[in-house]
Amino acid sequence: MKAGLQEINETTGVWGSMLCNNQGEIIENLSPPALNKPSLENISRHVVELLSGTAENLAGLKEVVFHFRDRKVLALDLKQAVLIVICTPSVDIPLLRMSVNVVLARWEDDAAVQKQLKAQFVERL
Amino acid sequence: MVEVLRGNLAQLSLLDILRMLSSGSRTGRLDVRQGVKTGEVYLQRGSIVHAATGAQMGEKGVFTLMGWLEGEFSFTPEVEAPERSIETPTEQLLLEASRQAAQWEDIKDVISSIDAVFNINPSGSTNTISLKPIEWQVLAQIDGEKSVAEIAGVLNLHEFEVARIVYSLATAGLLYEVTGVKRTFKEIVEENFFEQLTENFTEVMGPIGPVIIEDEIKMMGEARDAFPQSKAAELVERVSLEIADGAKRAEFQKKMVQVLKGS
Repeated sequence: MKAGLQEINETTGVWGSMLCNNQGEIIENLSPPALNKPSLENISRHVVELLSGTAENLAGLKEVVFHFRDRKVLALDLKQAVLIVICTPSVDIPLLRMSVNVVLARWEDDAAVQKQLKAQFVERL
Repeated sequence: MVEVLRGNLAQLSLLDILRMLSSGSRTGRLDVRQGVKTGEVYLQRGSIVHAATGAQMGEKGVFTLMGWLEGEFSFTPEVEAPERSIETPTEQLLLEASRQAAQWEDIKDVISSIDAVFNINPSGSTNTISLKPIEWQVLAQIDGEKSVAEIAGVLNLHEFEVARIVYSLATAGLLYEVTGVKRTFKEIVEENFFEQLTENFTEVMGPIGPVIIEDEIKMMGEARDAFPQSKAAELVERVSLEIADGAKRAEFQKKMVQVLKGS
């Protein structure tokens, strides 16, 4: 799972990435030390709230891109968990989205990753 | 009087600030400062009712301030507007501002700021270019000395309008920036990119592949021989959405991400 996050982080403009469960608790994190745990949890809770809110209004929406302070954030609802990528504002979103898709496609076929995600699953708040 | 909001435009755009104040039904004065230039926008229960910067007032003032990509702002609540210069509904005003902000993102790639100075490129463009009267008026003011903002002042045009015209003239190869900016012309993708895109896409889609690529380029308003590097990933993503099979799409994206990342 960490290798996948590392691959995402290698995209130009990406600062860090993490996976959190449906309640915003961090499962796996590969972000620079400048982003401490409370900051990351602040972002992850914000994202989960956002996805929960939009889920009611826009059924089927699984991706959100928004500005958080001076960063751009891409969040993807994986159903079992939420992937959050923190970037500089100038990040090339189509390139990032495809880089993420490549990793997600690999995770889908990776029994170990699926097992890990299943173990971390909690219902959304 | 308590100042409740203060910050930097580089971190929070004027559009975002106004959206926030409007949705919060706030009344007060938003002061904006960029170097020696200042401007102010007044809100009354969330509606933008008055704006002024230099000689520009009303909507023109709002749109000029929207072009300030750097500077400081502060909001002072409960200050009444000295007059009403804006009648347009705020929602409509912000919608137009949002459209302009999106264009500013592209313009910023070529024009470092509205204080940037341009000159006429002696080698010109290799293509035939037709100009509208307003574009000719702007081109006639380009002298390597006047800034974009100064030209707007001379022609009594909105700064955004002049910046948009300078942007189109510069990307057509007619102008170059004299000061500040690192690159005036769009970086164009190498032909190798299209060869690999066509090869990988045709492998999945068959002979229709190159046709889809050409259609997408047209729909993006670009030409293959001058396709900007900044839109290469967007093109790849757009064509990849034509691949119905998820696994095949991921495989195509994987190959093209490697191309885009240069590995």
